[in-house]
Amino acid sequence: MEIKFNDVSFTYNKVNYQKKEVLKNINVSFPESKITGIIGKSGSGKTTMVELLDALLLPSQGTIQIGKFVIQKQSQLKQLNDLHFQVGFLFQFPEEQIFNTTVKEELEMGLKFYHYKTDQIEKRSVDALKMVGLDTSYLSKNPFCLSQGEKRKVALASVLILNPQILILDEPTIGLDAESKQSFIRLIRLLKNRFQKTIIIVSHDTDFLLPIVDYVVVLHDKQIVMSGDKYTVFKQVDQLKKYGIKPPKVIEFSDRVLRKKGIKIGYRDEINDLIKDIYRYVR
Amino acid sequence: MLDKISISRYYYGNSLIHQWNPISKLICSLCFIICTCLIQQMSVIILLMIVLLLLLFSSNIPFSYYGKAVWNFRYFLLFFFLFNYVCQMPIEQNILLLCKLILIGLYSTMILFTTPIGEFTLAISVLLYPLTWIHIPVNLISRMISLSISFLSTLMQQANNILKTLAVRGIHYDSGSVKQKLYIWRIILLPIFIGAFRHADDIAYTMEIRCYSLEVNNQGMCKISLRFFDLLQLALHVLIIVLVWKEGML
Repeated sequence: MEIKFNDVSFTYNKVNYQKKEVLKNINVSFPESKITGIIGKSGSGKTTMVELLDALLLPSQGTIQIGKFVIQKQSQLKQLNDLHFQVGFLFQFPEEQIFNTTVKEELEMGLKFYHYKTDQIEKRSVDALKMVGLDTSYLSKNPFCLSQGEKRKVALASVLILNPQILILDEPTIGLDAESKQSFIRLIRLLKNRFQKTIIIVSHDTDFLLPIVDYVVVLHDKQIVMSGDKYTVFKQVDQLKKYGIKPPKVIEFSDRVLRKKGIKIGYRDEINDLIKDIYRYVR
Repeated sequence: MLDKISISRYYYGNSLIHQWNPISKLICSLCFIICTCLIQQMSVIILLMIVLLLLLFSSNIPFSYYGKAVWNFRYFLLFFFLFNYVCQMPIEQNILLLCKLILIGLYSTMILFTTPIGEFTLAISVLLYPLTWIHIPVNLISRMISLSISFLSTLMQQANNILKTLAVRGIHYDSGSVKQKLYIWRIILLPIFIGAFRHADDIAYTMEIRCYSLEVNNQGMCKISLRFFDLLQLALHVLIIVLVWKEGML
């Protein structure tokens, strides 16, 4: 399911009763079954852009095409109800938006609302939990008593239970420790490789994005200023810094070595690969 | 849904009404509300409406915002009207009462739109200051009132986030039936209250860290002076009361 923004602009009307333009003439497409990262400094419109994708906000101008769905200013929410079964959205700090006292109830909430059959709901709950790497013993647990990383996985499972083809993750690793972060990276890779999901990740953390994304979109001052393959974007270190974005450390190091010593060691995703390259070069 | 709630929202501006001394503003609102409550004739209501329209006009806030604020109370007004009708209140009196409610609603909306919460607190604590002589904790009361008002927008924000989370799970508040809306309210009340208590704790700790003390009289933190416009407003409101009294309309 391809996603396409056609000349999309968005203006908030309710910020202290004053209009505020957040996105201006956005034209971009997100490839199917790939992971795309959206980066930009605070207030550049990243979250607004992804909220438009799930019709939580409607564009002030232009259209957004998601498969057969077209989101525009005149769209009715009732027409877009099915869209939420195609686009899953995980907000910042999703663990703060848990509503029920057991994981089972938390997972089943959306499906119960649409009167799904009990056996179908149970099967989907188990599948969703497995997808995020949790076993069925979690179903009876209180989500408020789980660890931060586990809570986030439960929140993700309650989105995955609707079986969306597109998954949007807004700052998914914020507030997680290094181990939970690594576990989350593995999970995102699994969702892409095994379940062929189209994933869009909004993050400030370019070090986290580098090993998992395929494409990158850079937002600055309401507009898209850079987009393309991750290496094409990330290796433009000076440009990224100009837009207030910290480039990934691995790329920045390779770039500095190339500039100062004239040694080309290539661009790597992981620090371990880079170390191996350097070791090979020294030998 | 939550965009419709206008309470505790401040409209940034630099109009005469924005610069109006908050203490004088509160005294005038009190005068206006008492006056409106006691009036028995439609002609005086029209007079007050003209005065209010002038004030609204000088606030430089689009009239549509005031209109929306009143429109949000339409069910309350309708209920009020029907209730009085069932209780066999004469229709003229019923309409008069509705007009009074709209006047009070518009005036208080104007005050809320044009007064920052800090100035509000200060005005309350200054006006209630004499009560400290009989050991009533005025600072505490004024801080509680202002925090409660400012907390409303935080609660709305929290509720909005929860509604968005529900929407991505396919549960829409705006497009649901009444039964579904009730179900959604049942779901969101728990996290809203948990979030509110957590946020209240954060505010309390922050105030403590910043050495805010309720025992200390903090009126001196912000200086407010009476200007010509404030005196003019006070005079205007006193004049309204006197006029109403003289005409024997009370």
